[in-house]
Amino acid sequence: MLYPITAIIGDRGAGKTCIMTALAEAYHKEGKRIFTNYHLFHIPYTKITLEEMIKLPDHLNNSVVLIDEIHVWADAYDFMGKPARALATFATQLRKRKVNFYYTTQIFTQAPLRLRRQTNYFMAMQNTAKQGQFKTQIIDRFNSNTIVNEFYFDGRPFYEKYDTDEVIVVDEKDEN
Amino acid sequence: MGKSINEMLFNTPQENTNQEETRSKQEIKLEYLLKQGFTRDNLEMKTDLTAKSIRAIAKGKMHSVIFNDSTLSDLCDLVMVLNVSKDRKGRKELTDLAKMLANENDEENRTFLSRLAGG
Repeated sequence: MLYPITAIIGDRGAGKTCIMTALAEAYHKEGKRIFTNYHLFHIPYTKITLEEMIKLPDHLNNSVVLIDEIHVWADAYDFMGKPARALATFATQLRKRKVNFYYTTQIFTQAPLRLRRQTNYFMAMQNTAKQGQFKTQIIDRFNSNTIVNEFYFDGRPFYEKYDTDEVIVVDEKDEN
Repeated sequence: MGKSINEMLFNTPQENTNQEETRSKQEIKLEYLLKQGFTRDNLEMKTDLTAKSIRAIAKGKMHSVIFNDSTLSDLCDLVMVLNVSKDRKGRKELTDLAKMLANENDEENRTFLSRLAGG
């Protein structure tokens, strides 16, 4: 899968946003444009709202979209409605638009159903005994949940690159 | 050139994922049939030998192994190759298959067109 949809899952403080920030930096170094719904420091990015995302603007092509706590959006909307359908359409167009899409959620079932169905990989995060180090397993959902990769991620260098206390809220513009 | 992030994360080599299948279904099937028809793979399964010739070839093969005789082994293989699809009329069988594939492709096109037309 060239442009997969990946769900980063794990308990509170398991390094979900941290690894997403690391991915933002790595993809930026690869020359990709980064779109997120949370603030990054020292990494060039563009803030994006659900409202903007589902309009499928052309400037999203060939980029990386990182959405923290997608369930906040899911809770804020009637996810059987138009935004959910638009999000599902967005998900189906990722390959053509060359977009890598990552989202975090504590519990997978909290993510919108239409998005869950199209999610290719889980990135399961776990705390370890060492502060700031997280066990990461990448699981291929469409290949009998095979673990395709497993590694320990050192999140400490990335703590200063995002606000660990940032509360993800749906923008007022979003809700209308 | 180093590995891309997607390659590192998902273990999917960029070269392979870029090589999208460009051949049509028909071409793939035809290639499979040609491989089945004209290669020595699974020769024992493809050959139409009588019980008598099977015994003869088995003996020949056995002797070729015991005496390490490659010429005898090649001869046995040749006999088997010559017997491939003898009763199924070899070439006719392949042309029939190709015709069948072409018809199948027409059927696919029709379905696609009828779907477009809303039929």
